[in-house]
Amino acid sequence: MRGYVLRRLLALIPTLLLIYTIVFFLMRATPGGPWDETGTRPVFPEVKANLMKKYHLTDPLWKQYVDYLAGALHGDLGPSYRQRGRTVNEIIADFFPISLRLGLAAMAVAIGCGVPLGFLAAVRQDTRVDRGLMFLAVIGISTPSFVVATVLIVVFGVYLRWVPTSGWAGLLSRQALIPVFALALWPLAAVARYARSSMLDVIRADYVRTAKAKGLRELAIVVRHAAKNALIPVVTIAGVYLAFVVTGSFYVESVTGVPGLGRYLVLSISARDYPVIMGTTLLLAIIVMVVNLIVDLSYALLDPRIRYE
Amino acid sequence: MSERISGESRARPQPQIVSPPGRRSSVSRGFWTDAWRRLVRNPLAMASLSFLSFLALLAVVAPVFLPYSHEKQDLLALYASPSAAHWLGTDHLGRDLLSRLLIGARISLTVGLVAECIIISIGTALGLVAGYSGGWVDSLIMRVVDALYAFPDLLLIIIVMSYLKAQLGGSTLGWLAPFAGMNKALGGLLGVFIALGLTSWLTTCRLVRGQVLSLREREYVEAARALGAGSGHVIRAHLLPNTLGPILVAATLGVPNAILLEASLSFIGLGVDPPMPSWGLMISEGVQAVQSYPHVILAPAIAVSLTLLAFNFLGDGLRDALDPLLKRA
Amino acid sequence: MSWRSTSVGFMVVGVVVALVIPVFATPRPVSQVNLASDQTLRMVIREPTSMDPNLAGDHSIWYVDQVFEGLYKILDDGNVRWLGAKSMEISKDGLTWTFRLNPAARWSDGKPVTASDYEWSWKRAMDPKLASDVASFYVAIKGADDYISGKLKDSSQIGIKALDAYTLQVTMAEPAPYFRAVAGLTYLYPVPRHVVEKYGDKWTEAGNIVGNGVFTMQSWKHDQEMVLVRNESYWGKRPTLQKVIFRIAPAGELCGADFRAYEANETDFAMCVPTADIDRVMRHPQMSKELTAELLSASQFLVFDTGRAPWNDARVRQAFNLAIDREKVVRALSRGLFKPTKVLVPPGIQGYDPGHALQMTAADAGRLLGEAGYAGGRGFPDFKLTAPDIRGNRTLAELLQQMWKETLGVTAQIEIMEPKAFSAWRSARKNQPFDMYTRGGWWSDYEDPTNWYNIFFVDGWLNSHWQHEQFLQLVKAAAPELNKAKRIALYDQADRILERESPTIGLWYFTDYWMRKPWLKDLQHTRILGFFWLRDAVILAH
Repeated sequence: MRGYVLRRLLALIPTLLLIYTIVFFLMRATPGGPWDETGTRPVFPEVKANLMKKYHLTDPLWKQYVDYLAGALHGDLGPSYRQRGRTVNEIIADFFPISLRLGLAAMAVAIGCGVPLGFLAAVRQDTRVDRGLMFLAVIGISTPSFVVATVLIVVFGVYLRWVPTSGWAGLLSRQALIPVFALALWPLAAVARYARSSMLDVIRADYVRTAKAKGLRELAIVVRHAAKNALIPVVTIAGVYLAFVVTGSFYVESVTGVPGLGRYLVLSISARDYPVIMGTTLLLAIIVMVVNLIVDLSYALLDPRIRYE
Repeated sequence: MSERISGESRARPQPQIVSPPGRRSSVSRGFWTDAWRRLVRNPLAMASLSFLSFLALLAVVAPVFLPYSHEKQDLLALYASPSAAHWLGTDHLGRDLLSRLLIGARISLTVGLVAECIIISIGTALGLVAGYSGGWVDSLIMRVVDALYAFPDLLLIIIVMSYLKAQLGGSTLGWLAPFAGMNKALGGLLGVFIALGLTSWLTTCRLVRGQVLSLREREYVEAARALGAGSGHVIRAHLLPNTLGPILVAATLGVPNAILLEASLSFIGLGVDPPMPSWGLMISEGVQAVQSYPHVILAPAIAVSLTLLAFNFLGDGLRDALDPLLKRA
Repeated sequence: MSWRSTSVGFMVVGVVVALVIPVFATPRPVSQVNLASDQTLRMVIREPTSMDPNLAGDHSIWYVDQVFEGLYKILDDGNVRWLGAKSMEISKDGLTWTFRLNPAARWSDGKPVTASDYEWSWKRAMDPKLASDVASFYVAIKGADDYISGKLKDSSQIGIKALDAYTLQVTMAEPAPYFRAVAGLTYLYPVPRHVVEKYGDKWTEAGNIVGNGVFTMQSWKHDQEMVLVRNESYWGKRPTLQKVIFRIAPAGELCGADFRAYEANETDFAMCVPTADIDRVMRHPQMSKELTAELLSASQFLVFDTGRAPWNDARVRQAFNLAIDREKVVRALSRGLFKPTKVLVPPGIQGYDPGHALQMTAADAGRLLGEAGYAGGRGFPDFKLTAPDIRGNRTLAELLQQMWKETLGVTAQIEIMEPKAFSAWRSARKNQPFDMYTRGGWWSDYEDPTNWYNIFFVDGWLNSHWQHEQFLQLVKAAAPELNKAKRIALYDQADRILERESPTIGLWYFTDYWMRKPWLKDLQHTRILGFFWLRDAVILAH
């Protein structure tokens, strides 16, 4: 087990290098550079030359590749091109904790509500409860988060004025309600579906039938025997969504005005802010990979038949 | 692309992805026939199948009987409410929403089905191989999955789309010039397919692998292997059928998911080319006006939900029909 | 906006330019009795990319303008409001400009603002090591070009000199009177040397930053909130507002967030109304009174590649021009809040005359296209309308496509590009063919015709490949013309040619849709770049 974890952690290195390489070259292959004018800002050619020089973009490509990598290994992710005077490290330190908190809160809501609801639907298969819950789940899945967030803001912010229309004042504030819920809705619905589906599989398994035949009460069966096994696919999917929620909350962050990393990453892509794109991509990559490792380890925890050597 | 839209062809392709009909044993052929019989007996699944087929048909023949063209603007009737003239009202350019909804169905169904076929094919194949083989093959595939997966989707999609749009629609066509006509006919969707296909198979792959990891340790699989069954047989006879349920659940979520992803792309301006409508584009246009003209977003949102609901019931029906555990009972 | 102001030669005689207009107090119709006790203004803004006047070249200038001030400000009525300077003299040969600074002016830490602060700041803005894109506003000054490009290393060779603590002397490379319109811009605001040298890159953070404007920065939580408070040590009349709270919203969603916050009464002032909500606002009994469309010196237009067929035929361009129903376009895009125009340049720019527009109607469009050999659109080659995905360009493209289809029988293929990709594409059009494009319009950086005609067609920034000899001669001659009447006449003649030939098609003048709560008074708008003047604003009791 320890060897396995160590091997997986070592495997992060080539994966990260691969991602670094792909991002590095893809960024530069994309049309438009950081100082091509955007809608409002033509840039004087001499100034553009100065900027290119200042940020070492006139160096040969291999040198840029090596230099940034060397910097990154020393924990220096470079300066932001768009936000003059700010470094990627500062930007990440500012925004990542917000994204992380928001993501974790949303995931806690999604799993905390999704798993019990899914199990409930499975146990009550083909009843009104089941159909009603799955119908709601479908609505949850089929509504894009930017629509959910906008509608919630209009209803609860503009009309009812229960919560501010945008902004961020920490996780434990009224401002956080809409982003957390909007972000949680989709994974909640998906987790509920997977939980139901996987619980159905388990309920039909022989050992559960045996238990039932022995006269154990349904709830006891679910709790004692079925839940643990039914959680395996749910864990996979929850891990996937956790990464998604932490990294991909761009839409919700944009609409609700939460200053998170997802929103920042998209801004940086449209500004061709290479160091910010690279720095945040690498950070998100590490998170995703660590989450994946945890998911894989949790299989072993939940299913003794899976062994990692 | 229209024949791909029909629900009929959607119902059955899954098993054929990794298991061509000619090499199936007689036992499994009976299994598929049984499954089909069970599916037909499921009223919800059949209703969904009919709904999807009807939708596909509408999308194909819509232009024949539509009262307006989907691109006809009426600048005197911007954001008109539903009326006898415009059953669903009009959008920000005074275009008939019903016409756009039906033309949008074409685009969105095509995106959903084509992208999902690509996603499921790649994901299932690699997931099976990784989970079954273990060892370095597993490691290799999972490292690639990890690498791609750790890639923020949007970054990859934006970059791929920017590149492809330049290649496919720019003033100076690049090496993809032969596909430019096809891309134009698809309203600029080729890039969306490729971008979605490249980024979304990973989840399926991980899911399938996780399932196989658990299955391959089960007694009957170990027994089959001990009796000298080949890998191909074990995969076809034991692993694939037992994995189908989760794959189908994933796929039923996947089709509308691709439709929704296209909506998200439209939201940041990377969806279809105007004046082509897609449900995603209509939703993201509608959300801009949700406060003043809520009817604009309602129709595409309901259409997406209904379609998704139908795919779900169909998927559930298929799942029940194909579930080998049920069959053994 | 443009940052290019080269190739503008100008001869000014003038002894002491009659710019010396006394400081005038802003009319204050509101009685002081009505003022609210809490003078706090709340509004939504975008995160500034920099609060350093030497670096801020985008929307950040609006916020820089609250914390810093420059030599003077030219108001919409053409009057000069003297701020950091008291007067300005231009030598007979037009080469030496002398600014007499206001000795009362103070940095917010109490140190005086001196001529050497200006000298140091201006040289810093040009420093290749700082690599600031506002450097292009300095190119009229002697040695600036060479210093920016790195050819000149010695900054003392630049024509900027502090003669004494309160006299700043600027020497031009060649007479460039348009500098009058430039010298008061935010890009030429001074920065406090002692603070910049102390904190380096971090000098603009809250706690470090020291300005010379009417407000000072109290706090700045990046991408969340910035709070300004009244600068109690300001030399002149201090603003009535005590506090300004900027809530920072994400760029892409700014307009919606701004308006929703306003509607929910969380802010007192909104600078935007989403197009879809304009009708509702106009029908609303209260909100309709709060909405004003403030005219900007900015227009939206379409550019042809006049260097190739069929666009090299003026009749084709005229036909495409006449086929556009601007009222409808403006209604669809802004519910009529933008101002339709048939000419390119906005009012206030010499040469502007709506009478120069083509004196024909949409009915002539088909005839002209027929004369060019494409009657009913038959035989017209495939063509593409390219636009960036910003500011309603997508909708505009769809509108134009439809109008040309109906009136001319030709179908444009629309290509919407991601903004940066569009910029790269557009820059590459210098020597490459295209059909037509629209972009995010053009905002006057300063009110002078050189900012339009000369940059567009002499510098060729539009890449329209339009080489009309007579037009080019006129605008080249007009730029340095000293006689004001003669200059106007030359630009007038040039504009007449421009509109007749239609290498570009003017579509509308932009406006800022401002929403002001009834209790917010005396908040002024400037048509150059849409500045908001918080220094005079007051909050009434409510």
